[in-house]
Amino acid sequence: MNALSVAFKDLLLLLKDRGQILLLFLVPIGFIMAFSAAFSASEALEEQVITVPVVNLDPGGEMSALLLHNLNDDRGLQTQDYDQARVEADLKDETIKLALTIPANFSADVQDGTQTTLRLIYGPAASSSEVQAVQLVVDGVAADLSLETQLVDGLSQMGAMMADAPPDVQVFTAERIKGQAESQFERAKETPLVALSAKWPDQITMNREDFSPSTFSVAGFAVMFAFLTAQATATSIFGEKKEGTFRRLLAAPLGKWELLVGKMLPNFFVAILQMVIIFAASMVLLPLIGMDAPTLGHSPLGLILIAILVALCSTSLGILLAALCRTESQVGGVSSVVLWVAGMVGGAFIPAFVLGDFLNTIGKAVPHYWALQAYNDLTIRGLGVADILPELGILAGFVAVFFVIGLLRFKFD
Amino acid sequence: MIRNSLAVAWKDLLIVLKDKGALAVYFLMPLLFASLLGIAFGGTSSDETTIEINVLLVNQDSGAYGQMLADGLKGAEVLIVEDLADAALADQRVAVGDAAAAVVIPADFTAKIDVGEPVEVTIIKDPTQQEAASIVAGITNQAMAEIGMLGELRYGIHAVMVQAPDFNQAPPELRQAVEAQTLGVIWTQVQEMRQNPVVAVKDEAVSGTEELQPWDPITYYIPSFTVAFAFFLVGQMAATLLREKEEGTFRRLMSSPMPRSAVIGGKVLAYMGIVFLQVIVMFTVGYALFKMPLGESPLALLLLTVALALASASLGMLLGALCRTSQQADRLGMVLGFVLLALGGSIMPLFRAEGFIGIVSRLTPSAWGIEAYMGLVADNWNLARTAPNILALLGFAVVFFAIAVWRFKYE
Repeated sequence: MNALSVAFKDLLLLLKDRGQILLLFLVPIGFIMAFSAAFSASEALEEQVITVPVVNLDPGGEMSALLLHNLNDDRGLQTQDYDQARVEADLKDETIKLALTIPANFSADVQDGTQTTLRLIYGPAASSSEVQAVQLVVDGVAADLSLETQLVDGLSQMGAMMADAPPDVQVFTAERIKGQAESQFERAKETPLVALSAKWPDQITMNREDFSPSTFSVAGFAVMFAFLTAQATATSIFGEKKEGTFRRLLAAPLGKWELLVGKMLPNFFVAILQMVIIFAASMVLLPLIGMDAPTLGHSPLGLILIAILVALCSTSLGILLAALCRTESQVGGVSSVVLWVAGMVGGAFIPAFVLGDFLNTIGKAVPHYWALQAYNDLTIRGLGVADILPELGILAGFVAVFFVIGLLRFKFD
Repeated sequence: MIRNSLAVAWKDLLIVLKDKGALAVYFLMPLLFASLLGIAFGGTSSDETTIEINVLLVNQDSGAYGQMLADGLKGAEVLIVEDLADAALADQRVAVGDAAAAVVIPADFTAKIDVGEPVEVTIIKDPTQQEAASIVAGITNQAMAEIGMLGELRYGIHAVMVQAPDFNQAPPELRQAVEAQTLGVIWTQVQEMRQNPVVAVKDEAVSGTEELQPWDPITYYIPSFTVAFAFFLVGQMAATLLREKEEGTFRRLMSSPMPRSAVIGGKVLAYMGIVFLQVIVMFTVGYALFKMPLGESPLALLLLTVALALASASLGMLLGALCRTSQQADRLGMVLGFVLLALGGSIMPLFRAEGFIGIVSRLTPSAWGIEAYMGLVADNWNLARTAPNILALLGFAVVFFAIAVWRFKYE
């Protein structure tokens, strides 16, 4: 078949072009690696412990000791005793970024119920995100401390109110209250009274013992990059037109549609290969940087079908782009933007709830959305081919629409 | 020499500016990304939030605490709560993605809290909507903290009262009344205490330092994407250079009475100009639309931009010198752009991390640029603080230039 000859020619050209191969396969893999590393590093960032110099003007106090203990208790902070005399100077010459001051009568004031203030002083070296992070923790610990002492205080007041009552009705004595409160606070630290336990739906984890979805969507990026090859198709057609070889192909005894199909085939194979390599590489590489490998679900046939349809969709989109774009800059720049926006709106790398209703609805008009739904259905929800037939049908619809319009509008001259 | 360079620069600048595709990629895309990410991550803390997350609620508890938790969830603005009777159905619906999460309150929720026994609420998360599910978990935890506190109080009061010998002999209604009344008093006190905690925390700047503004994600994303896309120019620059060679226009320029350095210098100036335009457009939009502050030191901003422009243009030269065809330059430029975007820290400040990733990030010119821009707009850096980053970028530029000059073929 003539179409096959055209395809073979293009495939050979492609194989000899090492730069193109580099782009088509290494870029998405590199991208995924870099993003996964970024995600795992950001988790590491959140777990970093911030050292906070503390000027404790209430050194012997019970409450200040408790405050310091709680601050250091697994909240991402580590306090460091600091000398008051040096603090201001060290802040100014950027030896330290911030410092927390516990005022002189802290313990006494807290036990009395008198308002007292912890000061968090920052110098020019501090960034607003660091100050906010530390303040958040200190606020939380201070609030708990306040509550504990105020509560015991309140209960004691109740006890005092009933002090006039006969002794055998007196229930709220100081020791009883303190004792009760302390035992409860102790217990609450070990096992809080109410706790939230999270799990994945049973429906999904049913037959899969080690189901653990990565927080990072390999499928999203695979689909994204597969569709970007549409641009490669369009560029190659454009390039041929510019160099005049296209006209020569037209002069050959080939049907027009044979010519187009011939142009589509190599990129079709490339798109499929790209997806396979991306998934395979992620399974191997992601665990190396400490992330979970993507789960693949139970239905290899389904995965293959999606890959085929996405590849078809991408190449017919390429034909459409080649037909609609008039200049090289449109093919290069404008279609880049269009493809990236389509990916974004289709949910390839931005969570749906962020996009909001409007963008999500628009997203359904984009093939990326349906491809991703199908992938998620197979890999995460563990469904089978039968369940993704509607999505496959819609993708096939897109292929037909793109190809027909592309064929109709294609300027063969 | 200067006039010649400027003429070449003007020519190159016009070529890029007339290319609508290039404009879309270098100006529109960074704006899109920065705005989207800025709104996404800033929206959750602002008052006007348009985020809506679907949650299913299965309340199997008929007591007061279950109701409190249900009310707490329904009162949250970002959640759209749907009541369901059947936990299994909720599980299925989350499995197919109907809702981001389902919260199941067990039947003995109130009963257990009343006797001080720990109890668990379950949240079923949709693995395809993990970020949304986490937000639901956060809100649920907050609501439960209140209930936990109330529960502990009631239990505490009951436990103490029971220790009084006379108390147990009083009729049950009286006991309940006393407990309820005590609880009422204490709960009011707790609310008051929450409003006026004994310990307050105040932040302040040490004397002589500017006060810090609260951190707004847009102050990160506008600069970070500006820097990322400034480096996307690298591929374009190298590609046009090589294309000129391929089409023969370069040779014509070389044979003109212009010194060689003017030709190269002109191109460098043109692309530095584009970087400047990028910074101006991005920061103006940031300022006008998102109220992004512009910092206290315009001089530092200017010098930083010059250094960034030099780093980008020199990298373009380097790529142009090392690549053999314009296609190669285009592709390598794209790869380079993506790698610098991810590693330099455009999405997340990797340069702040410790360990390997932090080091690798700091090896990229992008990281130094992003850190400095953010410092200037968010933390009011002055010129002295920005100097190390400016020097780092200049250092990169010098190295890139040196290698480019060494390897450049004038043919």
